[in-house]
Amino acid sequence: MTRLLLASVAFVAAFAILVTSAPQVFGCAFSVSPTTYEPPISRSAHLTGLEMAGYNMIAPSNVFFGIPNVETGLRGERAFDEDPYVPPTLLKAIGYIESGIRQSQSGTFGGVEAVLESFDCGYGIMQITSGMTSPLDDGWPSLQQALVATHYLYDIGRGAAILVEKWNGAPEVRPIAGTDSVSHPRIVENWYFATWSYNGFTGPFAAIRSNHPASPSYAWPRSGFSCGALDDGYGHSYGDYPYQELVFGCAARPPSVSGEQLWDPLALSLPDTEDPLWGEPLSLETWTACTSGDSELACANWDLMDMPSPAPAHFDPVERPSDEAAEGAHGDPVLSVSHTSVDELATTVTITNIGQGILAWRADHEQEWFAIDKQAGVALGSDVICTLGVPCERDATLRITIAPNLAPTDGSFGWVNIISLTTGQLWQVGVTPPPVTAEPTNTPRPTFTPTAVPTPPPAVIVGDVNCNRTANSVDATLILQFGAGLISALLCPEGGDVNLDGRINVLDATLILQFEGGLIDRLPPP
Amino acid sequence: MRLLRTHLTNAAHAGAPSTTRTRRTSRRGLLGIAIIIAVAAVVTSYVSFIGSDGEANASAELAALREQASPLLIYSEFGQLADTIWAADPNDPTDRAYVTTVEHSPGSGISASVSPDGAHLAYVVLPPGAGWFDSAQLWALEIESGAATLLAEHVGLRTTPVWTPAGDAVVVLRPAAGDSVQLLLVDLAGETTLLAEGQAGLYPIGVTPDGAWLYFASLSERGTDLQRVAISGGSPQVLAHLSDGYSRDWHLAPDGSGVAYLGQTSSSSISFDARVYDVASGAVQGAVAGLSGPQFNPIWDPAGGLTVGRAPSGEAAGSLVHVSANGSPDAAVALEGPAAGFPAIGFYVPLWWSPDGAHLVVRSFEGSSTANPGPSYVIVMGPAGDRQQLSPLSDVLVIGWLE
Repeated sequence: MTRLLLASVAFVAAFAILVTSAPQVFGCAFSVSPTTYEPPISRSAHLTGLEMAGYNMIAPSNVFFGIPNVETGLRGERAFDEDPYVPPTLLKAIGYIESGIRQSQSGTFGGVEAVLESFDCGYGIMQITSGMTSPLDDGWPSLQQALVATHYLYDIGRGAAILVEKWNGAPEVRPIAGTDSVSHPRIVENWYFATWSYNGFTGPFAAIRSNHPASPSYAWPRSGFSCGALDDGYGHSYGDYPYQELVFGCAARPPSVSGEQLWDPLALSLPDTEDPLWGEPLSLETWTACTSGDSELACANWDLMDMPSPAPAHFDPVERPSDEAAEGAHGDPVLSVSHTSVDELATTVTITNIGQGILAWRADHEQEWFAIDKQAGVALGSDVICTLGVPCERDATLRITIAPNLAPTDGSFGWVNIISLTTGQLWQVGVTPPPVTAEPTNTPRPTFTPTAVPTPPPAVIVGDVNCNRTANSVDATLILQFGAGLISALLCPEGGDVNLDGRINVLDATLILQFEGGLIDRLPPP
Repeated sequence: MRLLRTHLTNAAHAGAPSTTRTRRTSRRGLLGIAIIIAVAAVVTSYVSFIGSDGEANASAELAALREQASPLLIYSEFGQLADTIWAADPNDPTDRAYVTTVEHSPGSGISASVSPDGAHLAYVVLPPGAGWFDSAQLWALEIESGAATLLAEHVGLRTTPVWTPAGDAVVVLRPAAGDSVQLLLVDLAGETTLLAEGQAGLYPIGVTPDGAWLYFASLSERGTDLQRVAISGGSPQVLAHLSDGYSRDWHLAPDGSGVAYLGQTSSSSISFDARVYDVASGAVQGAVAGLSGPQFNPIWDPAGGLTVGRAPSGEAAGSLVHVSANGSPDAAVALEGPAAGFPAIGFYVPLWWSPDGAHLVVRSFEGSSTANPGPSYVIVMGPAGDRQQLSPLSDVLVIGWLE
């Protein structure tokens, strides 16, 4: 009874503490959150990265992290602009709206921490969700996924590339803004529809969150959105504006850090919907015609929604960063690992950057008789700034654990691949099973955890709601958080009804904790 | 939480998945940890709304203010991580009492309303840690005690809860499968009843004084319809087609005799004029005869009159027009144009009349047009034409009145 009481107290206590924590994210591209380096709080490095992205200086020849050629011209006369460009101030505003311009989970500026992950598998500064919801490399996060999560520069680059993809959606699947300015990408207001699309091109009667400016969900009229001080006379609550107004408003009224505005205000214009030039393209009738798919209606390929540049229109005065600044941001990382081979049941290898800048790495292996405890992370060169008092491990560690009962006995071996994501440098650590000993030893055997790789569709594990094949206090906590509404869904809800009463609630969480505490032997209990 | 997950990753067992295994032998360690956690739990209690010394003082402060002034204006000031709700004397908004603080997801303020009996305040909030697209929670705060109760989850954040006249339930929106949305009736015990569901944008307007009907608007590709559904259950009924385009800012008359709203004036311009749907006749007519130009947020006064905002025209600032219940325009000076100390340009959007008709709360915009509205602040206009800014912040949500 005492054990039962104390275990129950433990679960209540755990609930009291753990439900106030940030909720965990499961089921995205990574089974273990990768680490990332967060530049210092001034955001100077972040902002340089955003400017680099605007001028296609992050990965110019890369189709994933570089800006595709940006289309320009009117409907029927579209051509690629020769100079890929996205207004840098627009990118800065998007980055701030998406994450407060931070790459790490809790904003460990000048340090190393787990990457910022959201419930919809959005990663980092630009909250990249496209292609990040599941591992894409045969059960492992792909090199691109790893780079998005680990390196702030490439997260930004990917975000800029996605924004251009939205821009280039016109004219086929999006309307054109800037019919009076050949829809030139240098005019910031012409990015109105692309910005809208970055958060979802939802219409005026979207079920919950509409980004249409005429949605009755938003006040009319309304002062612009602001990322500035709360007493500046403008709005600051995200839920009160469509997404593109958040971004345009933030560009016009930027945030401050230590009393300094992060960028020079750029007073972007929104469409004047009382003027038919913009009112008709944004009317309900036009939206319906363009989205209904009814061939009898007049809209073909969104042409009725094409509109002039919101007036007055603006150019972005931010200039191209210097090549030196870009080189500094990229660094020159060189991968070094403490081991070339391991033959113990458990070994921790150290990953070091003996070059400069941020070394983003990914690790993987093919053999299933050993495991590694991380999939991706960073190692910092000696030149990278670590803020005093902030967690900032320059080296990364990787623990390789062998399952003796699974290891081959025919002399074959395996290897762990550790790759530097920006340079392609590969380091392989050979893994050799230790020799089999005749007599059992008194040395405790390291615990073996299989590395997360694809498995056949699993049977339900009672009590397992995070799909990690184990029922433990993490599952109990998730059930409590779900019950309190702190998370909106469980990954494996079919494992949550432990007592088989048709509901998932605190009773199920209690049973899981009792099971983990050894008070009951099985789930569901007899 | 993150440390816990790392530890567990290293400690999981190999072999086929199973939830049947032998007892552990580490009970002593588990019990020790349980004791430590239990002590910490006492310090960091999850039930943050149980009355404390601080909240008792706040309740006393509010009670004292209620003794000296009535009605009180209830409003919320936005904060990045929490909104603060106040009750203020409309004669002197600096004389205010703290009601409560609601923590929320960074950047996402609450929606809220006061029950007709003044006993409760319902609010919809995205809890801390939730993301943009997460759904929100519905809470009810007992104003006198400060105790808050979670009534429902998975609620749409943009819903202002609509109270029943008896103050025993609210109507909110909930996202449903297939991009549809539900209108839910939620009572103070948290029991929910589905009133209506659809793939249109649904906007609850008000419950009739007899408590029988919920009026709501539905926006779809067909335009905007006014509908009603019985609180006791049944199929929704379409009462009127309000607009082929957008309509918005619907308000049920205090006696339930009409619905005032803004209707789109033409298909080529998103501009509105104020209209009234008459329940008895089913007819729709302009709210103010002969009033032209873009108009804003028609609200009812306690006597059944209407107040409408007008956009600036040329060099002239915007104004407020009041129509009494018998239909005659009210030329009350207190509602006309800018006053000393306020900008000569700009316009007003009426927000709320006090229950005694003595005060009008408006949002005052400093810009020259709806395309360039500029900064704005909430102003309380008094019976003598006096105007006072309610808060130095712009992000103020007027929630209601407390009598």
